Formats: sequence, C-alpha cells, structure tokens
Amino acid sequence: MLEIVNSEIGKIFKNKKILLFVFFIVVYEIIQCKYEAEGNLGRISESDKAYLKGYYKEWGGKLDKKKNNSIEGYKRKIDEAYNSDDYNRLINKQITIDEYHNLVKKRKDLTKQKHIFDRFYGEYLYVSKDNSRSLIDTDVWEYILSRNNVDYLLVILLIVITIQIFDNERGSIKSVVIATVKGRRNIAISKILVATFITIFLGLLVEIVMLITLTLSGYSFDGHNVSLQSIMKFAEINRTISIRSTYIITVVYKIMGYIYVSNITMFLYALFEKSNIVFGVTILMILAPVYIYDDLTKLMHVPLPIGMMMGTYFWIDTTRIKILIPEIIMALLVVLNYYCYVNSYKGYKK
Amino acid sequence: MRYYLEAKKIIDCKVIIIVILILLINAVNVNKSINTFIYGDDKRFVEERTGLYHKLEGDMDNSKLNYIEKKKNELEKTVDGGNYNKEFDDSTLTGYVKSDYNLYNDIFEHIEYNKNYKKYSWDLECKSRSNYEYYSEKNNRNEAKKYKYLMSKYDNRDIKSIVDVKSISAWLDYDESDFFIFIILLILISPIFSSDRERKMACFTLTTINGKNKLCYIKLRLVIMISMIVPFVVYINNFLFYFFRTECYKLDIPLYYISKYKDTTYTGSVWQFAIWTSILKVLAFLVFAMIFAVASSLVNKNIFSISIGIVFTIIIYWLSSKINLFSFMKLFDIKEQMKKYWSTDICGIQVHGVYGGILSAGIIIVLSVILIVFFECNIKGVIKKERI
Repeated sequence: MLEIVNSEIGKIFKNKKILLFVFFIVVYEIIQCKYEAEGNLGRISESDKAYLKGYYKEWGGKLDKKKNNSIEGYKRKIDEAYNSDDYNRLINKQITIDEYHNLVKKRKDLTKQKHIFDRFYGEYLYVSKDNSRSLIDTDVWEYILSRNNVDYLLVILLIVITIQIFDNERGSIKSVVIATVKGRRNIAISKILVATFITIFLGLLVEIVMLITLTLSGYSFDGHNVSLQSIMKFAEINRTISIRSTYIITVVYKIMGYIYVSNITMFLYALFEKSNIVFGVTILMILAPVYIYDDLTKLMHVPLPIGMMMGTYFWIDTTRIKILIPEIIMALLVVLNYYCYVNSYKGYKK
Repeated sequence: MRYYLEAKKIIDCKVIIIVILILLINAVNVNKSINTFIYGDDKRFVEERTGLYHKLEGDMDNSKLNYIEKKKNELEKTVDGGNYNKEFDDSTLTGYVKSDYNLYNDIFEHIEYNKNYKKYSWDLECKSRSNYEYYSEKNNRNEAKKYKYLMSKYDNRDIKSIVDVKSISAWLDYDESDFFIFIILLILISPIFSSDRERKMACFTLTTINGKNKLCYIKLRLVIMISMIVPFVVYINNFLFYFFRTECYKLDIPLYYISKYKDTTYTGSVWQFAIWTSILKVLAFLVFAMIFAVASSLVNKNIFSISIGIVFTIIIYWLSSKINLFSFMKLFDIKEQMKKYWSTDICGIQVHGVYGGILSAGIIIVLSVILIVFFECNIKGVIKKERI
C-alpha cells in the first residue's frame, strides 16, 4: 500500500504545472501576509515598537500588586512630564532659559512615550479587570485569530489536485490497473489517502509560510500560553482556553474544511467523471452561500465547507448547533467516496 | 449541423443538469432578493402602499400632492408629540401609527422629487451651459465638449406623472446573477479546445477536410453564441420573476423618474436602458469567454484550462484598476456608472466611459482570437501539445 501511495504522490508532484501553482500560492501567501500585517500591525513606528517591547518585558504576564503600582507610578511620571508648565514658568521668569532647556531635556524621553504608553495603559486597564487575563502583546495573535477570509486560491489548487489524482487513469489504463494484484481496493484507498495527505500538507504549508513570514518581519509570538480572553476582541468568549490551543484548533478546523472540499470533489468526480462540471459545481457549493446569505455569521451554520474554512469564528461561537452537522456530512462523504471508488475499480464500466 | 455536433460534444446530459441546477440557485437568490427588498416590510404595509399608489397613479396634480402632504403633516405632529398608541391598531392604515407616517412620508418625498425635478434638471443644464461657455473661452476643448454633451442631455426634462418605481429600481439594482453566469460560462467554454486534445482526437481531426481552420472558426463562433445566449437567458429569467411577483411593468417611463438616476445622462426609457446595459454586460462576458477559450487552447487537459482561465481572470481583475486597456470590467458595473456622467481617458482623449469599455473589450477579443487561431491552426503547435 505504501508503495502505491508513494507512486501516486510522485505522479502529482512530478507535474510541473501543479508545482508551479503551489509555488505561486506560496509566493502569494507571503505577499498577502506581509501586506496585510503591515496594514494591521505596522501602524506604529520603530521607536514606539521598542518602547512597547520594553513595557511588556518589564510588566508583561500576570498582574500583581507590585506591577500595578509600578505601572501607575510610571503613568503619573509621564503625565507630569507631559503636562508640566515649564514654559509658563519661563515666561513668568521663574526659571532661566538654561534651566528650562535642562528640564526639557530631562523630560523629553518621557513626553515622547506619552501616546504609546497610553495605548499600553489601556490594555493594562482591560487586563486588570479580570484575574484570568495576562498582559501580553496581543497584536499578532489578534491578527492571526481574526483572519476569517477563505483562501480561495488554495481551494482551487486542492480541487485541481484532487481531480488530477482520479483523472490520471482513464480508458484502457484503468482496465490494466484493475487486472493487477494491487489494483481494485488498494489503489482506490491509496488515491483517497493521497488526496487527504496532500490536502493536509498544503493546509499546513500555508499556515507555516504565514508564521515564518510574520517571524521574519520582526513580530513575536510571546504569550501563546495565556488565556484567550487576554485579547480584547475575544473578551466575550465563554471558554477557558489558551491562545495556543485556540490557534491549533482553528488550523485543525481549517484543514478539516479543506478535506471536506476535497471529499466533495471526489464524490462529484465519481458521479460525473467530467473535470469541468466537478470544478464548477464544487466552486458553486463553496461560493453560493456567500452570495445567498448577506450576513456572514449565518455562514457558520451552513453545513458546507465555507464555515469551517473561515477560521476561529466558526467553532468558537457557542450558539452554533452542537450536533456538528458539517463534520458528520464530511465523515459520511469519506465513507461514500470509499465505496464509490472501490466499486468503480471492481468492474470497469464505460 | 457542424455547430450542433460541436455543441453536443460539450453540452451533454450531465452539463444540462448542472446548468439547470445553477439556474435554480439563481432563481432562489432572485426570490430571496425580492422578499428582502420589497417584502422586507410588513405585508399589510406593502398592500396599503400598493393600493395608495394605484389611486395616485397618473398625471401629477396639486390635489394629490395636497392630500398626501396633509396626511403626512397630521401624522408627523402626532409622532413628534410622542403621545400616540405604539401598539397594533386596526383602525390605522398599516396597523401602526408610526408605520402610517413612514408610508405617507415615503410617498410625499417621491412626489416632491417628481415636482422639483424640472427645476433640478434646469439647474444642471444652466451649470453645464456656464461651464461650457467658460471652457470655450479658455480653449479647453475636452471640457467644453463634455459640458456641451451634458447640456444637451439635461435639456427639457420633466416628470409629469406619478409611477411606483420601487420594484423597477430593485430590478435594475439586482446584479447578483453575474457570478452564476460566470460559473456556467466556465463550465461550458473551458473544454472547447482542450477536450479534443485530452481524448487524443486533435491530431485525427487535423487530417480531415473540415479540421484545423474551419473547425477552429466553428468553435470560436460557438463560444460567441454560448456567451451571448447564457446571459440573456438569465437576465430574462430575472426579469420574469420581478414582472410576475412585483409591480414591475411600467417600463416605458424615462430613467430619471427613478431618484437614484436623477443625474444620469441617459435619456431613454427604463426598458431601453435595461436592454442596452444587458448588451454591454454580454460584451463583457464575451471577453471572459474568449479568455477561457485562450486558456483552453494553451493546455491539453480540461482541469488545467479551467485553472488557467481563473488565474487569467484574477490577473485581469487586478489589472483593470491599474490600466485603462482593461476598463471593460466597468461594464459589469455599468448601472452604477450611469447614475452620473462617466468618462474615461484613452491616450489623452476623454471619451464616454461606455465607448472606452467597448474599445477595450474589442481589443481584448481581437487579441484573443488571434492567439487562438495561432495556437489551434498551427499544426506543429497542436502536435507538440499531444506529445506525439
């Protein structure tokens, strides 16, 4: 079985067009990630980033009395420096100009930090309201966990690869394959496994490329083991879960969504055996709910892959039906595909 | 006969079932759109509104306006006072006092628009005239030409009758079928050239009398026919839904009767506008059909021709915002563009946006035809793709 799986994978990745498509998607993912990250996260200057880093290093993590006092004390210092009336004292000749310049020099560093410290202080106030929260740099995690756009290029590639796996043997080659010892059941199972493995591989590849791009752009992933509610956007979520676990579950659901798409493609191919119809109908099943439903939150309740591929908001919403309809349909499709393809390899019919 | 045989190759039972399924989904979407836009309000509100419009329809006269204005002012005083029954009250027209006020206010604003439109268009004409005179003095030909054009369009406009335009406006605004048309064209046109190579028939057909050039031209004509028939079928289907489910039948009124189109330069009637914009959208779909046909002639497997077709579509969509050559994409949005004066720049010359769109569509279609003929009528190229 392993030999068949290896040769099936080799057949796919020896195809230059598919390799080019994979390369194109990796490049597109890098560019999109950099562009989006700079738009969402790059709105602060390098010096402000350095200040923020310093604050999180000194006061980050779980809050205690010592940290609270320290932060409040620093806030008072900055406010005093920012609101000082040295200039008025100079005008009223209470201090000399040299003394004024010395005072300005001393307070310059503090006044520069005013707007960035106010932002940090806002986050501190949010975290201090609940003991379960921790003070961390949430920007990167908020960006990653809020990405709810479906990667349509990846979906198209998965459909192409799935069709290509089953489209390789047609006509006389199929009858030769059935006549072999390893034909029939083994080859049908191998093809289904290969489609699943390649889907998981590409889904993980896209996530790894995103993480590497963000790391190389200078963003850090500290604080991944703190509670999810440390991120302001997820304050209302009623689950006790860490940021790391949230991300892992999100990736698992996204990959399940891609496997669902792959299984739909396999099932449609078993029915129609025409790549243009299978492609069109699969794309329609993914995109039609987006056109029919105006409200994106309703997509989470549709038993099609679109909700699963949308990321965190799909599974974290506790109002979603607990019967797990998309997951059940996906499992049924896997079983159906197994029977369809094993039967199609049993006795070759035109 | 040849067209029939070529069409039979790509349009078989399975394809017909899928196309019907897509049209059914489109029909569901149209119905959903009608339900939200027109019947989103209470059923009784809609019935009373329709009834009032039936009574008011016809020539504009002061008695109708005075009646509506009087009712609206009375209800406005009651609602502003705050002391009114907020519960369901069967003695009111729609069941609720606030709802009655909204209904009369809606109709009053519509009649006010009709009444004041003559002055509004006259103001536009005067502004255009003064701008035309100014730019003529300054010898700025482009701007002078633009304002002379606008002067002629805004001249002599008047709304003389009251017509319920809500459903007509909803029908004109409905654009969601374009996605379904795109999918149908992708399914039908992608295998037009690549299917022959996939089945190893291309070399065989080259040896026949009608192979090569003649076959290529037949397939091209088939692409044009499909890309014209499919959108028209969908648009007629949409219109029939609106016609039978709503009051969408007074289509001979000028377009500016609808307040969203108050600044439009189009002087024809609503039905003429609908046909004209449909034809232009069909032209835009024809461009995409040609792009799919080019993608099909590049490869020897249907699945790759679809993927390359989609990649080309994404590239063209991205380029359309950067380069004027791809301004045909704005033809998809033509109803929005025609709500005001629309111009585009071609080689430094300002032309009406429609001409720019038609020119760019024409250029891309001609280039696509040249590419297809080069790939399909070149024996060495066809053989090479089959790797013999």
